[in-house]
Amino acid sequence: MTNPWRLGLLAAIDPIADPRAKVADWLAGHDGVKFYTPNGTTLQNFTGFLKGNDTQDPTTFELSMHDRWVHLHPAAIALTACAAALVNSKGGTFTGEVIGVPSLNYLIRTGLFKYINLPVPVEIQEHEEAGRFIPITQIRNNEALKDAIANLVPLLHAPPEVADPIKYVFSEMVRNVLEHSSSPVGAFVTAQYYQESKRIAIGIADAGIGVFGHMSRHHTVKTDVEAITLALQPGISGTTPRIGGTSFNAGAGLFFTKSIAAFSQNMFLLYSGSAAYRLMRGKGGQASLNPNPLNDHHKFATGLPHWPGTLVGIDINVQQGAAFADLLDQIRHAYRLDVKNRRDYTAKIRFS
Amino acid sequence: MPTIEIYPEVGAFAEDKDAAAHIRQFAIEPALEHSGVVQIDFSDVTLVTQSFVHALISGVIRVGGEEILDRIDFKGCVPGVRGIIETVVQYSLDTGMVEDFTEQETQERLDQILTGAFQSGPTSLADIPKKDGDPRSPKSKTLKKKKS
Repeated sequence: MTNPWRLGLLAAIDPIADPRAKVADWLAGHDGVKFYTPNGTTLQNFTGFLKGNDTQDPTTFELSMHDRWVHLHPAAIALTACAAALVNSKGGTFTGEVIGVPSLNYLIRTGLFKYINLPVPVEIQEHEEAGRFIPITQIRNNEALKDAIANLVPLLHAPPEVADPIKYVFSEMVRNVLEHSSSPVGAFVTAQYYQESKRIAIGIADAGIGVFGHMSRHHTVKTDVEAITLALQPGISGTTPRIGGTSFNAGAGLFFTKSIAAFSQNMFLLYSGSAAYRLMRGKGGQASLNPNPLNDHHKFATGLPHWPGTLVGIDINVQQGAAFADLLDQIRHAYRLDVKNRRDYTAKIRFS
Repeated sequence: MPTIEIYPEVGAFAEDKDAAAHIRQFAIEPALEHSGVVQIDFSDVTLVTQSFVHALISGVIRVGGEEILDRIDFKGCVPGVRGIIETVVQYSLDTGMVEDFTEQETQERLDQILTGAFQSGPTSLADIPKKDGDPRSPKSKTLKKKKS
């Protein structure tokens, strides 16, 4: 007998990442929920959220919610919506109860309950999401991606230093999904902009073949950890055994996305299969950009509930006046391929 | 010199890889073949993805080698676009050298990556020249203005 696909919409905490974590006895009666935090699910404690889920049987979806407060990182929202869409696509059933927590209006307005077939206890008045978040968007093809970039990002009414990173990450990560994942439900994206803290949080989820499924086509990898490690290394593409990729795929999209987080002194998550890589914040105010993700300040969580596809989460700090283009320019300093005799060719490029 | 304008094809945010590959195949490569030179005009393009620029020029540069750079002019590039072009050109030409690896050498390099043994050198952000508004610097002009 398999367990239902259980996703706890509860802010969970990783006791290893955060020593302040306390097991809440009063939550003992909630299936699939083990930890509690008053601060919500962030990339810092994300593996706690993942450990509270159960993904063995995608024909039933059991929802459990914290009865006082729910705050989810967009990556958690994207993953939950993607899982619910997968269950829907298989004609599965939904059980559980949507509880009227204070943040329920926000969760409704993200569009989460368009995918979770459970009655919602309150009705809200739809209004523009301007300045706060980009609602969950399911993207299945190139045209839908272009529409999302053109129509959704402007909802934030944000300056280029905010809008540009979102557009960039949406494009690179969703194209990965569309080209490589074979996800039956496409990609799920959502983002939030925290104006006070000047932070962007983005989540992209799919239910495809996962990083291992993609990388193992042309590389010898034994585990999810090995597959994720190679996928984050610039120049290693799942489309060819050749270092440097092909004329169409460089194998650098994840590296650039991870570097965007590193440069802004923030975090990056890549979860696929039973493993999750997290780029942690740099210590002492200094970060370094490494071609090899194992040399970054990172944590690898293993033995997580198996997710067939891939989830990417990223937090980016935005500073007024700091152009995103400058950030991209800096990443090139870190982009190193493994070559025998490296020369600098950039001086020979003709710009007019 | 034939000029290929990017903005009319993809707009201010150049991210569509399929469009980039199409431009390479049906505009850049024929221009190089028939005229020997080509100008790629990025005027009014404010942001590009690495994947777009890769699909646009990497194949041409890998095939043509270092000498092809004398025959391509990149026009109207804002700093971010210029930085991505430089990155793609650099690793595309580096990749030609990677082709010199035998299959066994390639596998050895991949094994070294997985064990963390291979380091092509971490780049400390402290080593990269800082610009105004750089979020790495607590003494950046941006933060000073905010405090005052």
